[in-house]
Amino acid sequence: MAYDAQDGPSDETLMVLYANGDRHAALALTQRVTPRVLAYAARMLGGDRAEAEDVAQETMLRLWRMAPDWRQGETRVTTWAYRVATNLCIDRQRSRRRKGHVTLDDAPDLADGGPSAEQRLQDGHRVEVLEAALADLPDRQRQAVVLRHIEGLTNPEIAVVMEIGVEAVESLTARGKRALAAVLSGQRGALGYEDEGHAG
Amino acid sequence: MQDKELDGLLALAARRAPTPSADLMDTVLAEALALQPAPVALPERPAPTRGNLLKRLAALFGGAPMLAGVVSAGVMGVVLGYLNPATMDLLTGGLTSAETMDLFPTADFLTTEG
Repeated sequence: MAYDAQDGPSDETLMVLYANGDRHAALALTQRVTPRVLAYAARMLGGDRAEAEDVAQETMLRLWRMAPDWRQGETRVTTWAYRVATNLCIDRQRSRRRKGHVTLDDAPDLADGGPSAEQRLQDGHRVEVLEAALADLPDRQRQAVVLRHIEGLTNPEIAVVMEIGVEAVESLTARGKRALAAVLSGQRGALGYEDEGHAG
Repeated sequence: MQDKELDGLLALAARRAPTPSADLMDTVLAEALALQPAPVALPERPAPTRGNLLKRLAALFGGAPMLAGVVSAGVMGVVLGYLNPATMDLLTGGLTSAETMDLFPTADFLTTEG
């Protein structure tokens, strides 16, 4: 029986079905978990899609390998996947830093005014600037902000992913948002907020 | 930057999640199927039938002919035990000259008090 990519059995049930040889469970888990891990990895890696795809593929590979030993009720599949992806992203960030630091300067160049300025300030560009700003945050703050405010996890779920207490998550999230706001304050023009302010 | 602007930016990022390429999805699924444990097949166990029970019982006695002999002897024993000895004369044509004897001619003592 084919399973829906979103509805139907829980991810945890699908893991058990997968371990028992159900091919439809393999397809459903691929469709459910891979996009979430990819999106998370992309944000953690400053929008580097190629590296994010590598992280997503490696995370899913580890998921399949541990499926026979999966114990229901201990953790959620997505929480487990975020934790693995987090560790893989951290490894890659460390490797990057050894090669050269990535900063906001790596964000796409902006044109000063002109007729194409409106297009450049579309949503896609705003997200690119945000991802570049996220890359400037300390690792733990970036993880907490992305998991809480972009991936939509609850604080207890983030605590499991990051293997810290809920209070520490709240602190990291708050500090991360403040730091992000500070970084982006210098990017208001790139984000188009100044134009909107003037227009209003 | 105001909190409202930052929240709006984060919400925008959540809505514009990158979608995985078809190649990535195909690769992940191919690896999933390659690493998937084989389905566990339960060993077939035929339901016990009447025929099997009779065969096992016959084997216990050394085969069907032997079982038939044992059953016949058993039935005959029951018949002989049930029939009145006088009837046996009818069956045997008087060859056995069955006689009736009283094994406890004075069994009244068993029920007499005193």
